[in-house]
Amino acid sequence: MDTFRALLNQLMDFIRRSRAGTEWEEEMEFHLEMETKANLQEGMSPAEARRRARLDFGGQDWHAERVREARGGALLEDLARDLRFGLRVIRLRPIFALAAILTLSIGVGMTTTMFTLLDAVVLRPLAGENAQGMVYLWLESGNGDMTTSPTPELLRLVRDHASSFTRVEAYATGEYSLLVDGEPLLKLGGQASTGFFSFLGVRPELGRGFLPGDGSGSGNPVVVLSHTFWAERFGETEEALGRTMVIEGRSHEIIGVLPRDFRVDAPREAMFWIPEGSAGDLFAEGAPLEGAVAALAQGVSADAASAELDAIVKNNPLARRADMEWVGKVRPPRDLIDPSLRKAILLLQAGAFVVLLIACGNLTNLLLAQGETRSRELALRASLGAGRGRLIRQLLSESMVLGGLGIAGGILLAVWALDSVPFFLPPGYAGFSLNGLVLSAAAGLALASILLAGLLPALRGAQRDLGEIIKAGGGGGSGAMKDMGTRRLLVTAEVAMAFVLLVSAGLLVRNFTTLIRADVGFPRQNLLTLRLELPPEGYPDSESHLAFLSRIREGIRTGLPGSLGSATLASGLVEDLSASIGAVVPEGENQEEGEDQVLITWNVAPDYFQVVGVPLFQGRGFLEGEGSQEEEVVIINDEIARRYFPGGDAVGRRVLLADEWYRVVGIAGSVRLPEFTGSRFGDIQVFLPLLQDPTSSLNLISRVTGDRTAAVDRLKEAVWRIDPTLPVLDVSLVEDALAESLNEERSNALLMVLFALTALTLGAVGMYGMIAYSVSRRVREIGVRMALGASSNDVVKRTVLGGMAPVLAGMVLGALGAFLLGSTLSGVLQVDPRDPTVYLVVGTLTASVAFLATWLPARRAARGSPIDALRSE
Amino acid sequence: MFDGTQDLPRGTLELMILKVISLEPMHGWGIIKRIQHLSQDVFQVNQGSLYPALQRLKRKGWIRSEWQVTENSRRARYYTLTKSGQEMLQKERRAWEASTSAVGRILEATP
Repeated sequence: MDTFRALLNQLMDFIRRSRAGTEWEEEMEFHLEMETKANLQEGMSPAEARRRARLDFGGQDWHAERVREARGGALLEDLARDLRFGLRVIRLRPIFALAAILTLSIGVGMTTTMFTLLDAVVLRPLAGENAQGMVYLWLESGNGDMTTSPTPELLRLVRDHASSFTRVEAYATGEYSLLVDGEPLLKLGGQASTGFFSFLGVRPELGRGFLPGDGSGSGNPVVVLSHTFWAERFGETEEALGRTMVIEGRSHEIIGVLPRDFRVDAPREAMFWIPEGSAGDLFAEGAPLEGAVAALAQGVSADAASAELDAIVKNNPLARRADMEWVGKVRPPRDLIDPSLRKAILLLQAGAFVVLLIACGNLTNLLLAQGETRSRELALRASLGAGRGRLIRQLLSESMVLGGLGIAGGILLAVWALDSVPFFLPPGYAGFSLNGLVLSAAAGLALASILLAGLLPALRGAQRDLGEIIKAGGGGGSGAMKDMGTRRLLVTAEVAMAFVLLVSAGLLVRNFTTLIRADVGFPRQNLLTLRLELPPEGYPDSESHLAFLSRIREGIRTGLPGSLGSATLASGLVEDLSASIGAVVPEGENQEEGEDQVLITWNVAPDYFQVVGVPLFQGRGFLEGEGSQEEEVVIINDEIARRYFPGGDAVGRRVLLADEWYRVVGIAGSVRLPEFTGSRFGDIQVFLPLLQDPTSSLNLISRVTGDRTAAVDRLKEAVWRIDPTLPVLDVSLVEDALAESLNEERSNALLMVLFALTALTLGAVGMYGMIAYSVSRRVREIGVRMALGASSNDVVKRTVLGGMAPVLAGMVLGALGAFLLGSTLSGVLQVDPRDPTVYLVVGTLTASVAFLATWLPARRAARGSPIDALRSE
Repeated sequence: MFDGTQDLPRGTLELMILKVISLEPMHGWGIIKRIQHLSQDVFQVNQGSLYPALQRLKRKGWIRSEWQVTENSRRARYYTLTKSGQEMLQKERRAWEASTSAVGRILEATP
């Protein structure tokens, strides 16, 4: 009750603070008056009476102070005053305060941004609340080389017979032709089992998700839109619900919109989703689904589930794919992150963390330096009666004010950065929310370092002898020496960390430039692609495809003048890759022993090789009309020739590719796409004539020698002259597409460079501050030296050497660290992690920056005249 | 800060304040003078001790204060006893008497 009343009193006083203050003064004044009057009555003179009354009384402030302490400390009031004091620090020492706040903002802001990004972009491939508790269903080839996802048949069997799973859902994505408001489109869409969204815990932003009745056989086909598509085509209005759009010729009702950050593990974002059994049914064919997820039953381990899945696979030939031996496997989502990607993530996280550490280190240095400067002030206050507790509390409060402002700044920085981040990332990601956990962790770390650095001078200052301080001129003593050592250590640590970051950044940059300049197997400049998709209504069979093909080739020939360039047709080039799985068996060899490979396949027109520029090493390209005859032909790449035809006699021989016989007519160079580097496939490539195997999706590939826009227009005209309703989609440059596939490497490199430069800047600022401060402390000593004959050069030299010593130590440490780190990085990089050029460049950069940071303040200090130096203090 | 007169243990000061106020509501300066007078100059309370003691008593809810006008038309803060203060006074008084008589008995004990 006591404490409650005390607190209540404090609160009341706090609220009526000003009034209480003046009331106190009034009461004291009254007391003084009475005392004075009494003294007068005793016969003293008025002046004497007043003086004695005052003396007796003691200082009014001290009085009020004591009374207040008796009131129970009046914590609130003190806190308010400390806070005001803290703000005063900013006013009186703006540069120091600004430096501290900025440093903190950068550290906290960067770390938070980075971790939020990494979490959203990489670590959570599937959004939704249940993403943690589920497993993926996979099939692995016997030797673990390849993986694939289950077929719809397999999933049906699992649903019906497997007891390890309580729920199985699946999804697939594919290109669909649409009619939205009368406009023909071709978009990536998704198809999912009806329980898919609810299983993941994804709640629609608008409308509803799928219900069990929405699937196959439902009289009313429905579709759910992605947020992006809804924003693009329907202006984010509620009226979108209930409207219809045509998908693959059938009308679907829009029943809902998915939340903004929903993603499945697919290269591009699906614009809409339809339930299984709807139009263009991806679930019906034998094609694999893109992903199958399931919930493990209670008490069932992943291994047990894997075994059961495997048993089903083995016992049901329907459930297999491509007649390969597959092993069923079950994996929790986290395991799916590619190890090299995981390393990259860790590297980036470490980078962000290092920046935070350096920021904290600088803060500590700053505060230590400030603490020393104020030790005089603190000692004075201590001797005048301020309790030690109060002093410590006050210093801490100051630190808290700075810390609070710094963290607020960090939040602002993070929010701004996350908004402008799309520049750094591959397209398709937008709208991040701050990761609260990371923010708290970063803020906590920053506050901890502030507390520590702020506490030390408080503890020291509050107990020192005033006399000793004044004698030492406000800055000497053993405490200062200890501080210097700590600060030097901090500099070494910061430099080491910055060095490692810089090396990492340099390596990533080098990696990226190497990749982007790498030879792709053909000249990539001025190469355009136009994508065409032949819809099934107009082009139901291969005859219609073939007819279109010959007409479009004629159209290009007449419509595109040589001055603008040349064009050809193919199933794809950089994008739209297709592959099949099968064995490569030259005629005469044992078919049973053929190992399955991934065959990257391109269906091309005869002039493909001339236009695109893929070299032909042996044999010839395709002839006009080739492919429509009985015998099927193929052009293999040099890798196949090397591996399977060591005698060099491939041309003219027959080969079995994925269970079909072809005659080899030529050997072409390999196409080396960036996505093939470092992966297990991409080596085995074959070209087939378009006429042999016409596809409904075509790419018009054009090498443009004249005006690009004109060429595109001519090509479009050629297409529309044949079929005006055919949409021409995705006109893009091959160069751009290639660069885009390196987006991840590019963003990694950019981010790392950002961290490294920030670390270096922070470190340099910290060094500058430290040298400037230590020089200002030693003004007297410098003055003495110079008066005794040392030239200003000598002084500068001494200071610079002293300042560079910890830097050099840091560089050595950093180089060692980077070296050791190098071996772990080799999985991420295509370049040698111990590349000496990078180390050299980084070393030079660090040394120069450090030198500047040390030399500039030294020079400024040495410019002053010795007399002035001696006089100051 | 004391001028040679008795050093007061805390408890006693608060008890004396309560007693003085119980006789008549008083302002701070008046309380000092009254204690001095009643103790016949034995106890000279220092202002530095009085006002904190008044705050403590106020915090405990045994006294309350209000601004009034003195005879000389000056404003001063007068302290009065609350109900619980009155009870406390009785209790403390009895306790004090009990302990002094106990001490007295010890001091007057003969072998």
